[in-house]
Amino acid sequence: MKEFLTLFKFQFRSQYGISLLKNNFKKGNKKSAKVIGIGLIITLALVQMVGLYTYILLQVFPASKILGAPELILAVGALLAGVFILIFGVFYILSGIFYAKDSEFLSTLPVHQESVFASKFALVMIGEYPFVLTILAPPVIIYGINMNCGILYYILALACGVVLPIIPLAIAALFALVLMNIVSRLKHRDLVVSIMGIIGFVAIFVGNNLIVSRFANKDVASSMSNIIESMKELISKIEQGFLPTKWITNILSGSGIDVLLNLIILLGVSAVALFIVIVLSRFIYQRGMRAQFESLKSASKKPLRFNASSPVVSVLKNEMKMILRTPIYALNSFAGWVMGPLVILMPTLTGALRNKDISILLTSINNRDKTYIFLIITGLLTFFGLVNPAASSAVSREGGGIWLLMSSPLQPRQYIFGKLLGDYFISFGAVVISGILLAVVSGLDFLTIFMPILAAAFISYPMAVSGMLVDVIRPKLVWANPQEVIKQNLNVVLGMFTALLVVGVVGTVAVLLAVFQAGYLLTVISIFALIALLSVILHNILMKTADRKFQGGI
Amino acid sequence: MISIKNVSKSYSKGTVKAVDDLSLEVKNGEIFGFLGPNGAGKTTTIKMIAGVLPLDSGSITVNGFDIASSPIQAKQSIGLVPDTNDIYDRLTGIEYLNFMADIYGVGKTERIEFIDKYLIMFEIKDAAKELIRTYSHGMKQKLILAGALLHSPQLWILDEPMTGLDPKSAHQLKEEMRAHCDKGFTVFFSTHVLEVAEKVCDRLAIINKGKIIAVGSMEELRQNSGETLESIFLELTE
Repeated sequence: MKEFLTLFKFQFRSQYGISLLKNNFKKGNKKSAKVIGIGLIITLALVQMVGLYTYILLQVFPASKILGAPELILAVGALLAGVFILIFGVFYILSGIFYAKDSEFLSTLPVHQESVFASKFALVMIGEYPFVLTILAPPVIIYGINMNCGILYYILALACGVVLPIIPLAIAALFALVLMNIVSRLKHRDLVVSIMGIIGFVAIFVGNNLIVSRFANKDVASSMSNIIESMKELISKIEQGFLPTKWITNILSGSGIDVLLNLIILLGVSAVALFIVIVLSRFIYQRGMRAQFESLKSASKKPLRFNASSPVVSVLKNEMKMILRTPIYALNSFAGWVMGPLVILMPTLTGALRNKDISILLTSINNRDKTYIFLIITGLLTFFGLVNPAASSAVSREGGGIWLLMSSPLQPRQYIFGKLLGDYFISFGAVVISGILLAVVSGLDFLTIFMPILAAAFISYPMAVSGMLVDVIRPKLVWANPQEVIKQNLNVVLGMFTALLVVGVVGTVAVLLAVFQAGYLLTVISIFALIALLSVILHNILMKTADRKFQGGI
Repeated sequence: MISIKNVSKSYSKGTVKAVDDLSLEVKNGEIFGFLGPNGAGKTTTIKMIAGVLPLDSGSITVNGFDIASSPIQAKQSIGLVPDTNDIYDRLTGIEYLNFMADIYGVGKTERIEFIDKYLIMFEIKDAAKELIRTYSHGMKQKLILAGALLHSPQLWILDEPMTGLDPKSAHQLKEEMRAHCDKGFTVFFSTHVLEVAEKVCDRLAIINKGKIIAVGSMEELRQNSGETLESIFLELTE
């Protein structure tokens, strides 16, 4: 235990920059104020999202209370938090435990490997608490106030929140432990991890959607009471597959022995899950973790290749190789390539909608107004291009190797442009693949689908530029594992906001044009012109900023 | 080749002065050693020469180009070997070298000739197709050395280049440094290995607390202080 605590404290201070923050505060460093300022801005932005979530819960609660199921919102909160941690937990565990930069150093210490594993598991778990708090607190408070719950209820809610991430993360850790142990014997480990990670993600995503599809196939009336009834049915189905939600709901909404029983089950199962993972880690963690340091001798007899490229193309190729060969970067950056097709195919795969239905739906809108169908499809495809953190982490990902770019005789704008092209290509690919698939599934004519694909691909450029601008201005060059550059990098969040700002500007103009019935052609031309204008302006700002920042030593 | 005039550099908003009004001239065709205790300002000075860090005041010209106003032209003349081994560890060795050749505009004929030459010289040809992350510390160092030499830089800057090299590779590096100078090019390097500096350098400077405290050839330094570089170093940096 002492070993675990020492390791945990050491890594916690390092990962969350506690010592650095303390030092900066002591010296009145402006950097700390900046970090706190940005954190506040993000918090304010998140407050809006949490506000919307709370608003929906507030609408649902009275109806569910009338129907005799006030605990529904508690189940929603626990379910959302648990399932999200389960789906994304595999990525967090892989990067936080297996791909951490300090893994090699820690493996040299005279400590038990399960202590290293447990300390890293605890770090990943702590990283989940802000998310759990955001999702679980609103329903807990709404339920608590409306049902006049006492202090014990809030203490139990706190306990449930603390325990909630254990089971989903333990399942993710089991998957990761087995996966890493298997791939440690294979040659192309990173590729296998990326593919298996995507397969795992797809399996959980499809699994959830198949459950939801059963619900979607039922006749869903539009009245609130019917919606609540359907939600109850849906949640009860998902609870069968993810029991902690059921236990937490019962703990917080039940009474007497029922609460105690469910609490014992939740704590007991969490403890057993944790125990199994820790025990397993004793035997197989180190093998999987060490595999990444082992030298793989190539059996290839091919001669060395001396391929020459222009500097910009060389930077672009380098950027793509680095993303593709780092599982965490690949999994996050190419999420749109998987999510887009899944979202488009899912309604037909699960039988919720048939191809004919989509076609009829879209054609009926199309006949009424081509402008709306253009805007709807463009909006959908743009979203798949948005979920790409590559541009907003482009400079940060260089880490300590930034010296190479800074000492090179290229104009900063040249290598920034090379990186930008690579990162934009990922968004472009997500848009085009999803668009083509949508064309196949919906059976829409070429021109109807081509223009939205073009528009979404086009708008992805200023979105990528705005994201990269954030990272050029304040790159995060010091990090311990690749996940930190993606998940714990404020730039990725800020990059998404700036990209949304771009979408917001174009979207507002587009909606105004549609509302005032400007006509299809004028709307399309205006949107393309606006995107072009935004692209030119943002591109110039990015290049000038890159020159200034890199010549100023970042 | 290098002209440093009244350069100063501070960290933490001026509270830590890393380099203090430093002036230095490095001539063409010489091997110039840059010595100093830990934290003396060697790496900061090197980073400023290479254009990695901006100057607070003063000026640095490399091959006639001001590093602040003409950084691209100045950097084109430089091949940098930093004190860190942080490079693209998920590239293979040959991919890294091709990348460096692209960045410095090395033509196909030259790149084949030089990459082959340095891979053989540093005995890493067999590992060239492997990922860099599988390299040892010394192998990474050799790869960075090779990458810095591909474009035959007029100024070769090395920050603690002997770290991690085996005796044979260290010897080859010293030979290469001399060969580089014989072509009329310049080598500027920092080291803690005083024997190496004593044997290899045409001239050297000792920096302490951000200031140059001695500069000249070994003979010139001996006239002022002790017999060996070690005694000179210890006396001056006390």
